[in-house]
Amino acid sequence: MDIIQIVGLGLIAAVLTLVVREQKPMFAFLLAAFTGLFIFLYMIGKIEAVISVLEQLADRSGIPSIYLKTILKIIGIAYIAEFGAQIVRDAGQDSVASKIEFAGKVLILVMAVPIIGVIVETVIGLLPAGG
Amino acid sequence: MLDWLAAWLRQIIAVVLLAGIVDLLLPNKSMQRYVRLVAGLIILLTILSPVMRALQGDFGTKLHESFDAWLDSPNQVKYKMPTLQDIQRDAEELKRKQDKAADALTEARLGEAMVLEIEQRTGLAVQAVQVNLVREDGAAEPAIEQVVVTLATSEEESDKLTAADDIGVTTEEIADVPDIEPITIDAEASQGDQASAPVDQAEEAMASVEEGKMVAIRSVLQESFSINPSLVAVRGSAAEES
Repeated sequence: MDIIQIVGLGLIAAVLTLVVREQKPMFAFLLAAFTGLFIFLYMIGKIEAVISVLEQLADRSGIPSIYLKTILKIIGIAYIAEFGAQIVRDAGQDSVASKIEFAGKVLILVMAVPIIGVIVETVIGLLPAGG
Repeated sequence: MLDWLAAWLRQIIAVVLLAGIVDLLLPNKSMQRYVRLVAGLIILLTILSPVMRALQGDFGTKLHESFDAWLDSPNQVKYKMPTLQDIQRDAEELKRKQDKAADALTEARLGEAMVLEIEQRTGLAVQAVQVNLVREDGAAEPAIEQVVVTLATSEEESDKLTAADDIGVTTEEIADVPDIEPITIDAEASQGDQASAPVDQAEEAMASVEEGKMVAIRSVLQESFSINPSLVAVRGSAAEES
């Protein structure tokens, strides 16, 4: 039933935004941003179930918990960056939105640095020492 | 052997599944390349894990250390922007230091100038003139708190005569002397630290300075530097010798 509520909320927000936009574009933007925020926060609670399943999976298969943590962080960064970028894009600031996305990409790559470090170390260790 | 193989395969399958879910969860295409890179690295690491374990015993702890070091370092390096209060406090501090240095310089210069002036005008041999400046809060200019004139012991009698001229006019002002004494004791407290001279000795030294000289010096200082005579203390060098 959640999806009906959310779609209803989205539709109402869309209609109201269209109505208000003629008079006050500012409030139209605020309305859209608030709706987006509400849906985001509403759904973020539901993701908990998915995450707990993933944690169980990681636990049972015995992969290091650090992998799961990294992956979850990546998902979080991607979502938050995307969400912020969309709100800013709604406000008509495409350039700022693309900077937010850029920041998200950089932060995701930063997550990979320790993994790359370990792999590089291993590869160097594979090479015979001193030729 | 088979157990180990099963665990390894299970790990690989789990990681690949995870990567698939992440791919699915991603909000848009633009992030996909980056996330795929990281997911691919993690899969690679999982596949390589037996090799790593064979090569370097505790690769798991090494991985943890690497992650911890990486995750902690941005917080430690984080640059703290100074707040306006910090900047203002620093500015106050610098200003106070500057004022103090300026005051010290002024005291020294004033003292030198006073020594010259007194010696020229009265002919008395002056050992030193110590000027104490005090700066009240909010005051832009320091005020003279006290002037301590230390006379040298070997004065010539003839010099006194010039001073003695003044005595005739102002002998009545001797009554002022008790008023000044507390100030002199203050000066003694600051100077007596190195000389470790008791207060009564200072008073003795004070009394040993003839009133004529004192008055002469005061009038010189008042004329040339417009210093309030009550701020001027004159002492013989006996106080410093004892």
